Formats: sequence, structure tokens, C-alpha cells
Amino acid sequence: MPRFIYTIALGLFGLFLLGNFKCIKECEYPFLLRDWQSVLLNNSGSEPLVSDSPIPRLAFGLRLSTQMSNDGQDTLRLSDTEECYLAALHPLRKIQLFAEEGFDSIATGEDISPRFRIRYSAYSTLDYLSLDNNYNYFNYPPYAENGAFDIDLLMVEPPSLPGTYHFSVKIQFDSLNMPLNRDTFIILPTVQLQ
Amino acid sequence: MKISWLVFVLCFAFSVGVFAQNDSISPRPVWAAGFYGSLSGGYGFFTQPFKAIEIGAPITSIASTGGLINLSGGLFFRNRFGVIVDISFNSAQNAAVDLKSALMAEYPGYIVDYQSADEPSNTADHFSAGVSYAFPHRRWCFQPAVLFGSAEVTTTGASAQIKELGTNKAIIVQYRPENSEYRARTLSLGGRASWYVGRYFGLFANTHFLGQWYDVQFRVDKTALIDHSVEKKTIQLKKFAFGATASVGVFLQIARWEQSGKSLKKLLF
Repeated sequence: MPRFIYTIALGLFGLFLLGNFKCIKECEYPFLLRDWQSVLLNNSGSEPLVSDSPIPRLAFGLRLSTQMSNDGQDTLRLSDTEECYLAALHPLRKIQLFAEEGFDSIATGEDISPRFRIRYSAYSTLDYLSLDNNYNYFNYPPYAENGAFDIDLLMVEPPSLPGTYHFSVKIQFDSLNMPLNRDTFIILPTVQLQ
Repeated sequence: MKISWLVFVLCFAFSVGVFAQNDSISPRPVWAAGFYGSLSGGYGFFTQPFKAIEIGAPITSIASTGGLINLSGGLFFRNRFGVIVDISFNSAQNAAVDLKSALMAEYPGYIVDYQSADEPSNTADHFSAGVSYAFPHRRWCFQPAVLFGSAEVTTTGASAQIKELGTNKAIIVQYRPENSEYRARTLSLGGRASWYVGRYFGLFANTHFLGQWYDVQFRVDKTALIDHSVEKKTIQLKKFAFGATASVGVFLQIARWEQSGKSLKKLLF
């Protein structure tokens, strides 16, 4: 009889311990990057602004806008009870820019990515990143309130002369050939650089 | 307005002494040996040595003109010498706007977005210790003192984004304090005028004139964002500041009075 009481007491104590410890499990919150769009930017002021008019060569940029989505979910807002983090299901691997028409010593179709920088701004910090492999900021964003974000690319080595220029963008993913995340190729509208 | 407060507190301190003289009906024993503790509040006036130097001051909080709270205690001996420990908490200020204007002057045609890494401290403590000598007269006692100490100097990091108008060129300037928990050396000359209301407590006025030697150092990194080239330099600021404080308060003491026949041991235990 005493052994039975001890067993019950031990069981109750175990339940008490379990009830007082909250198990927090980590989870990954996958999302997809799709519906890419592009606009031209004028970065003459403090912040880059979308522009349809001629842009100063030294302040030229372009913005790639993408939608973040995770199928079956209405929102990308993270759960409060679990330590979840956002992770791209098919990570962004590379963004390349090409000259559709040659200029200066650049031939038509040549990769001009080294002339651009990713403008990364978050938590009141600003940085310019090369287009080589700096994509973790976008593949593992710290937050995503509206399910969309922009990637601003600034041209830091502009053409030497004013004129009309034509560029294109290639966006590559580690997509495992899934149709939803196939590499995207965007031909930008002709831009008049002053 | 600030000077007038200082004058008011000094006048009040003087009046305490004058009325104490007139009020001393029953003679107080000549002198005592023992210890005391006191609490007072008042006002301090401090020059701002970094005000004209626009780079260093913005992220450095030092004692500034304003209210103060003072705690002090000490031992006094039969030969009228004594030792004093004094702790005061002064108002402190930070002139964050100066750095932005300095950077705007350094980079004309740029947009400067400045931000401090942390909120600057609102108070700066001052700890000092020294020796005193007492001139007792009935209920009145004047106690000049010389104190050596250190004053709190709070320095915080800061950064600024500097964007050239009309181009993609941008520069990040980061200020990192080399001595973020720095304490400046101080030398104080002062005195307290005490009026014994009773055997164990009284009112007093305290005045100090002090010099503070600041030595603040920052490491500055200027990073051009396009090629990430970094220009490094160090800013060192050695400055002297003058201060004056006045406060009034109450003190408690446990002492062995001459002629009283009571020993300190009996009073304490």
C-alpha cells in the first residue's frame, strides 16, 4: 500500500514538472519568392525614388520587387509561441545584370554586375553589398510584415556619357528545377541617363 | 537664471550661519570627536569644455549646470582635523545636435543622418575624499576641506550616414569610445557651515569649487560604401572644466563632546 502511494505521488510530481516547463521548439517558416517586378530608381536624394523621367547617371538604380508567399497561409506573420524564423524554400542564389546594348568598353550582352551594389538598409543601418553572394539577408529575412520586399540595386560605375541605355536582369535560385521558382529574366525598360 | 539659483543657495547658506550666531543661546560644548553623515540638495554650475569642439562633445555626457544631490560622511578628531567622503549626483547633458552640424559642415552637399548608439546618461556622479579642519564656535562650525576624486564621464558610440546629393555615393561614419566608462580626475576646495540644532543633528550648507580634468578618446571609422575603403583616425580631447556647487541639508552625528563627560563608546553602545 505505501509503495502504491509513493507511485501516485511520484506520478503527480512528474505531471507537475511537465506542466511547469513549456517546451519551445524551433521551426522553420518557409516562403517562396515570386512575381518579380522591376522599376527604375533615382537616388539623387536621401532615399531612392521610383522614376520614369531621365535619371542622373551617378544616381541611377533599379528596384526588384518580389512577393513572399507560403502556400496555404494567409500571412507570413510568425507565431508568438514558437521560435520560428523565415527561410526561403528555394534560396535566391544570384542576381546578374547585363548590358543589352554596349557602352564605353562594355560589349552587348556583357555581365555588368560588378558595376552595381545591393543597397541594404535595415535597423537604421545602411550598407552596399556586392552581387556576388550577399543574399542571406533576403533568404532569411528577420521579419516580413507585408509579405513583400524590395531589392534595390545601385549603379556605382555609371556610363561615362549621358544617353539612352538598356539593361537586363537575371535572377537565379537554388530551385531544383521546380516550375514555380524557375530563374527569372527581366529586360528593363530603356532608361535615359543624364 | 541659473546663476541666480547659485547666488540664492549661497545666501541661504550664509544666513544659516548668521542666524546661528544670533541664535546660540546655550553654549555648545567646545568640540567633539566622532563621525557624521549628511544629505543635502542644491545646485551646481559647470563650464562645458566640449561645447566649442563639435566632434567630441555630442557623445560625451559630463556634469552640467543643474540640480544635485549630495551624500557625505566623515570622521572628525579631537585635534579638529577630519576626513571626508563625499558623493554627489549632478545633472549631466549631452549635445547630440553638435555632431550632426559638424558633419554637415565637413560634408557640404551631403545629407547627414546621425544617430547615437545609446541614450546618454542624465546624471554624472562625483566621488571624492579628503581632509578637513574645523573652526567651531558655539552652535556654529565652519569646516573647510580639500578633496581629491573622480567624476563620471559617459561616452557612447554613434554613427552617421552621409549621402551625397545627386549620386549613389554614401559614407558611414562610426564613433567608438575608447574609454566608455571613464572617470575624470577632480580636485575640490570647499567647506561646510554647520548649525547644531541639537546634540546629534543640525543643518548645514556646503560649497565646493572644483576642477575637472577630462581626457576623452574616440576611434572614428569612415567607410566609403562603394568600395568599402575605411579611413581610420582617433580623436583625443584633453580639457579642463571648472565647477561650483552649493547645497543645503541635514546632518546626523555621533560624537563625544568635550566637557560632556560622555565617551563615544557610551553614546554608540
